[in-house]
Amino acid sequence: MAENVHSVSIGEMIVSSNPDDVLVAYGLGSCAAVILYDPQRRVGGMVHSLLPTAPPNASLDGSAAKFVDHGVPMLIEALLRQGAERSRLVAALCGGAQMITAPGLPDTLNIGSRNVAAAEAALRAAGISLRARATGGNVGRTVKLIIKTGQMTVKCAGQSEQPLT
Amino acid sequence: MSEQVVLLNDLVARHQTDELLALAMDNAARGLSEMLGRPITIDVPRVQTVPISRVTDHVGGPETDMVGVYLLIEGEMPGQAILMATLEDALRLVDLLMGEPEGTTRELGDLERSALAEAGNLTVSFFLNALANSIGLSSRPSPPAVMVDMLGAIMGVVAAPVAAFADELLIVETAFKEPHRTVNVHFWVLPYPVMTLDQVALATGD
Repeated sequence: MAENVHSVSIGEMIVSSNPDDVLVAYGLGSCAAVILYDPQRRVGGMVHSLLPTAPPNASLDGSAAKFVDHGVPMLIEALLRQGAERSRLVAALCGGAQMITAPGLPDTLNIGSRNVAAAEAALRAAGISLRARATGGNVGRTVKLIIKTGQMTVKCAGQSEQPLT
Repeated sequence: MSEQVVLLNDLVARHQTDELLALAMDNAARGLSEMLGRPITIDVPRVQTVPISRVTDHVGGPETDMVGVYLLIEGEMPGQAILMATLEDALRLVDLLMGEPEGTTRELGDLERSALAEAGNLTVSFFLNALANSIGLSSRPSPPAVMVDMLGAIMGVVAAPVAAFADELLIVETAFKEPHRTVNVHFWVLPYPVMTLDQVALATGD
């Protein structure tokens, strides 16, 4: 079976219903990846966001996925357009680690937990509950979605791949 | 964003800022070689703009185990600076810093991290001192933070402060090499584009 691995880079969103596709966000640190999957329609998507909220005057042309508060609704819309049902969507959240812990650096750098909170809020606002998560801590993660089965895995730095639960 | 980059490039060309940055990078290399007590070579510095979504590919695989020494730059040229090496090279760098034979350091404990932090602090300070001496831009580094993680995770930290306003990172980059033990270290300085423009204009009387 051929597997097409698609890397979801920082500030990108990918949606797919091709059973051969595997979506991967590599090396998530403070960034957050939100994954949504409709098990009946077998369509899923992933968004890899960097910041919790867009500043009021930010230009969002082609870069809305950088921001959790825009990226999550955008992902939901894209999935609905591909035939997903909102009520069937399974959600997972990964990343949001605190990467910098040195004394004397400002708290504004600690965006990991704010990314997680923004993702939770965006999903709650859309009426979608979280089924699986691997968030917080201070470790980088790689997260994967297999479109054919809806299986999700997470791999932490220096560890082996595990099912995302 | 692209307009700002064009403007910045324009300023760089008009005021030979690239030579200035080369001089400052050279001074940073001098600082690191003084600390190591042996000469290190430096690649020709480049000023590059890299799309945020591609910044990880710019260095290597996103899951590569890396060590980053990260500092914020505060003052008249605000921005960020980072000294980066693969985990293997960072272990070799610690051996050099501690005057140990290669292969002695096998993991990064508190002592080893603080040696790397000091190397980052010193490199960035030498860089900023050269800028201050040449054009009077006064800036200082924050305390260093040492990150040991996947490259992608470290790049996220670097991209975050700029991402709200820009889709590209402006990077002044070079690589340091210690020829006898072949330790390769990336050194990046990332001025915040908008503020830098203002500050460069101020400093040069435009």
